[in-house]
Amino acid sequence: MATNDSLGTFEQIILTSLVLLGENAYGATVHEKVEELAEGSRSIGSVYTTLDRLEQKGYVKSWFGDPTPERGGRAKRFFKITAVGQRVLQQAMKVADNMVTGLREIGGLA
Amino acid sequence: MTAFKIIWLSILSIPEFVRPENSLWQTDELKGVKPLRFVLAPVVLLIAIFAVLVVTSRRNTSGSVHPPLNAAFLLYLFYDAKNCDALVGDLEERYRIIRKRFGARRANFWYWTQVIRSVGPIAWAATKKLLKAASGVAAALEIWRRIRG
Repeated sequence: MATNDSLGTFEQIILTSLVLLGENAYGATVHEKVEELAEGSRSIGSVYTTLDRLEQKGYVKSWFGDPTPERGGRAKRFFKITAVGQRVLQQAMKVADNMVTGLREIGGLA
Repeated sequence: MTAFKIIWLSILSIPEFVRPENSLWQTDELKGVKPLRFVLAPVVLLIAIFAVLVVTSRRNTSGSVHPPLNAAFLLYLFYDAKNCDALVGDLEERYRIIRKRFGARRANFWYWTQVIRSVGPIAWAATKKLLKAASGVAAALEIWRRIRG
């Protein structure tokens, strides 16, 4: 299903991280996975603001876990991709796939 | 001396204590930089705030296993408390690992780096939210004005 809203690269990386992490997706693990996928350093602040934006769009949902001592008694904020988020990510992957196929047909980038 | 004058006048011009038409700005050396005061003043203030926070946090965290409190406070300035708690918790989780492995000084440096890099996107998101709300209020006022007038 095609959607009107297209995802930015960073949004795609974050949604992919959520899919890869599954039940263990909270701020710190998402940040680590994003840095791994993006092959570079990203600030945790930009990860959180993007997750907030994705939540507003309805692509992600979040909830708070129990406070833990190793976090100074602070709760973890868990994230999960929604069905709409999965559809939008699939659409973005399809577009990326089309681009790769197109480039392969002409023998790659010069 | 000129640089000091520019910085000082820029800061004073924020609350318009020294208005642009004031004779203090009319000297030859300051005329050219007058339009820059809106950029200079916030930059100078931000640097001053960071400097004060870094210096005081050194005193607060000596011998403590907790990350620099002032660094965390910077995040609370721009982000709502509940979400910020989770973000600070994430940073603290990693901070403890780095502290155990590399020591307090490097861990504090890492923490400050993370916070300074994170403040930008968070402050920008908060500003956009504020501007959106302000434009909504302005639009509502404009509609109200047209209905009335």
